[in-house]
Amino acid sequence: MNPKSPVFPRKVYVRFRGRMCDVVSPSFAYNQYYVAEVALSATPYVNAYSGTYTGMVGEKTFHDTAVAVFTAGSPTVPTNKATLDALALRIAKDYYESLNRQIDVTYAGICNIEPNARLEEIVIDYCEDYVTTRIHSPAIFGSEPEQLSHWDTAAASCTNKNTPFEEFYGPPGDCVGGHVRLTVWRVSVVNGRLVKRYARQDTL
Amino acid sequence: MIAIRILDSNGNNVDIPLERPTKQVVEFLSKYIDPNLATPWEYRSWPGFGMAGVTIPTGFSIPSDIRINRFVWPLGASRWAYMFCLCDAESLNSIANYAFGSDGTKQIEVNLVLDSPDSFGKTERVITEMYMLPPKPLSSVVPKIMPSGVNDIVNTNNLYLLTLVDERYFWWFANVGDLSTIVDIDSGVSWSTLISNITNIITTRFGTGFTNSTILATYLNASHAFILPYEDFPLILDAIAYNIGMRVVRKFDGSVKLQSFADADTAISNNFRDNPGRSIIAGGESLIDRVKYF
Repeated sequence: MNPKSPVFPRKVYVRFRGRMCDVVSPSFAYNQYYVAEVALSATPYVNAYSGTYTGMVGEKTFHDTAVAVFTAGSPTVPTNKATLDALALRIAKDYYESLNRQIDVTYAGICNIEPNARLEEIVIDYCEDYVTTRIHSPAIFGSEPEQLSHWDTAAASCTNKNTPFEEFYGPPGDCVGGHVRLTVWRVSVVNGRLVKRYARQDTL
Repeated sequence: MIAIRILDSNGNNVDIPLERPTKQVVEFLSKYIDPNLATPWEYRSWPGFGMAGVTIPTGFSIPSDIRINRFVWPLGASRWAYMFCLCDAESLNSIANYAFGSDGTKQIEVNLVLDSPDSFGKTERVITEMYMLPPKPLSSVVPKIMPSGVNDIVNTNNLYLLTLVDERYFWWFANVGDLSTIVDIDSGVSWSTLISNITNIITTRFGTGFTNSTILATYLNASHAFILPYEDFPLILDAIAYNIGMRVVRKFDGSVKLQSFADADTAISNNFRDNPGRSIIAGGESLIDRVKYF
């Protein structure tokens, strides 16, 4: 009998946002994101005592801030695919591992059970007519996050020249040779955040 | 026995036993001053704007009803251990004098001692440091002043509700500062650097020791999603743990570990191996391979 099958989804998806690097002009030919797919069968959690877990039909989806790097030479397959796939496999293993053991036990008396990552709570009741210690695992649904915050440093070299931006004049300014010289700042959205960077100085 | 252990003026341990509520007391409280209607804390309804995009679970544990003499020790950094118990005024004066200092300005942890009342052949005991929040009067019988000429005040020894919490309650009064100083927008930051940087706040404040299971290189770096200014420490630490396949575990001895499931399974096995005399009243493990149920 395999009670884990209804608990383990058959697949885990991890979606990574895409970034176009070193491209001449933005194009929809480049992927907006990369989804790494991990099958239950690719993990150690597939083996049961008397059979093979197939997992329930469905997929658990995670979203990660790590960026899939696309270039002109590789517009649809991220250049850091191997790294992202390894991370996705690790995320899937962690997810299945978190579900792999469900404990809910009440012991007589007070038990000095060492707190650990498997136990959602240790509860000791000291009442008039009974004394018990109960331990239980986290819930099999909802106790895990879906937004993850990893980062592949391979994306740091991605200059992304064509990120949409706006330029504006701002301080400091000065007067050079009878001409006004103003600083130009560039504002763009980088990975969901508004970023201001120095661009140049213009002499008017 | 449940007791609060304090130190006397000579530095010796003094155990002050706490009341075990009778059915009549429980009935009285439930009828007239049910603690569930006036809890000392509210649970967060949302993590706050800055934390909305960072790693937090999609669900949250529904807190159980407040029960007198129920000791709860949860997993994670964002929740704290607690216990509500009863204490009479005479005992409370000794405890409060120690926990709050004689001038009422201190915040000193007491030891909560939980011991089995009789023997099932076991001698297990839980002793852990807890802080006391302001005690709450449950009865308010006014002291009787004897007629003049008699120099006595008949004390009433009223009943009080003690709220004990562990150090994690006070972690919510710590923020992580400006993480933009260590998290780079282009390269993020290593998980170990992020952990040591933010846990330093608590180590400095409470002397708490933090360790972690081995962090695999597969987890890459922490992203600039952690460029968060002055967010609450517990949420950030839990977010870090989730990203590296671990959970934040505070142990009864006060140490804190970011622990992997593999290390947790080893800890469980060792703990149960060392205590073979435990008696299971109910429950068990539900996700184990079986040939049949019995």
